[in-house]
Amino acid sequence: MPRSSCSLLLIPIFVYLVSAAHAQRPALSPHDAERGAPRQKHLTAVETVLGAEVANALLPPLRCDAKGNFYVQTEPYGVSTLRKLGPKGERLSLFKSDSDATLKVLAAPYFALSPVGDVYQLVLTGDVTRYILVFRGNGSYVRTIKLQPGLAWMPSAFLPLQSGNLLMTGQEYDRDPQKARWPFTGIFSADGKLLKELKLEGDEEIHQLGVRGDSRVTGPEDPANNRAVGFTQMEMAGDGNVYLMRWLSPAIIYGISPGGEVVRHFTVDPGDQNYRPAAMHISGNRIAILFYQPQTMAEVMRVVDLEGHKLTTYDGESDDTNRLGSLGIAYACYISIPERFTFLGIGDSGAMEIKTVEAR
Amino acid sequence: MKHREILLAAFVSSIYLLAPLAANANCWSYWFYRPINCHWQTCNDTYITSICAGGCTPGTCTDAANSGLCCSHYEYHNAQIYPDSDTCPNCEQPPLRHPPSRPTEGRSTPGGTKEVFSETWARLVFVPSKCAHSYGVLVEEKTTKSTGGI
Repeated sequence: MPRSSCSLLLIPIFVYLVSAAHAQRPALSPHDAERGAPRQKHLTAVETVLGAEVANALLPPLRCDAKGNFYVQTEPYGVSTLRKLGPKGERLSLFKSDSDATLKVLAAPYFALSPVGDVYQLVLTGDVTRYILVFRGNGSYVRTIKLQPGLAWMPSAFLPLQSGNLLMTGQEYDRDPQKARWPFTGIFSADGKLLKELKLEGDEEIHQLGVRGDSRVTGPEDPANNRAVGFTQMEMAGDGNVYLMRWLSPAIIYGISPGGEVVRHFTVDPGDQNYRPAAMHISGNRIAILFYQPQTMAEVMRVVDLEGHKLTTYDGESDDTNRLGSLGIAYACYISIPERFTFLGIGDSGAMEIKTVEAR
Repeated sequence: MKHREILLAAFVSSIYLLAPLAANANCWSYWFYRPINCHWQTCNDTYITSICAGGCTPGTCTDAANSGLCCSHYEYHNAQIYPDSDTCPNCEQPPLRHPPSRPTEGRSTPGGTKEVFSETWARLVFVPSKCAHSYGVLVEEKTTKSTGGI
């Protein structure tokens, strides 16, 4: 056969192979098409460090700082044991919620890190007034903020801003304590005064889900509690805005400027409504959200940019015990360059494990 | 005389017995942690735990009134409020705003409106549990139509 005829035969074969490859790709939404197909990869644990600290539980939120230190709560009751651990799991500091002797603290269930590395710890007392304790990174107590929103509420999440102000969200009590609570978001001054209330588009509908007793946001243990608000998460991104995620599937994300303007609003879809957000972490201009299916514990990690465009998806289809799906949902840290994730665990001996996970 | 002594002893005893409850009588709410992971041997699961905090439900609250085992190994607890007919004056000062006059129509934000919620119905699916060698009940939500523009 002449050489030119052979080349002509190769053309239809090439066209067939290309079209077949395209046919096997999942259908793309118009949104996906803007940036091309999200890459589907697996995550594999590349390092597991067994720390010296012992824990019964790893209570959310789990956080890390720019130096690779971890902040972990391990005890829900009484004087919280918020610990700062080094990258190898060694204890660096303790943050004691009984540091303000004027407060009778029942629990300190939530904390956040400021841009300069201070630790802000929400403390709950037997009263409806809420307080935040401020610590230096070495665990030394600095001051107490008495929150003065002018209403009765239960905070859900907050983040200290560069200015010293606080972006906070939570649930405002209804006049009838048995009725669905109301989403509330505001900017507070460094001394706890409410400066500005924010209206987040979608919160009214989230409230209505709670009013209707929708199982996506309420549970029998406290029908007035709206989990979409109560499990809110927020972190700061490289653009200086705070990204607040309501706990829904798809997850609803708001980008909020330090002045309290909603500058972005998008959703991140795990691809299956039975998945729930486990944790969100931000590195630079990337948001990495771990979703999980509560019954099967199947997991999927979505990485998007700050406008919600899909960048990468990591799934947990493999049975490999080192891969996503068997790592659990104690997702503590995300670094975008090079892309790696950190999960925490408790070994059978009770010692804390730090698992570094990368795409393979 | 003897009868009066018995009554006095009963009165003093009742003070001692009821004192802890009275100390706990207040106004309460729950704090719920986000789902917490537990991992034991080959089992990987989650649970939700709650604690007592000051709030707007009058009564008493016990942190560890309910308990469970995650992965048949890790014990966890959930709080329980026992309401009474008392009132919560701290929840009236400042006054509760509800029902507030909040707008129900959505407002536009940069980037336009996005489809967020879907109207769904749920169906029950039984899923085998690898840990407990039993079946769990899964509420699977089926999409029927989408609503946008919130």
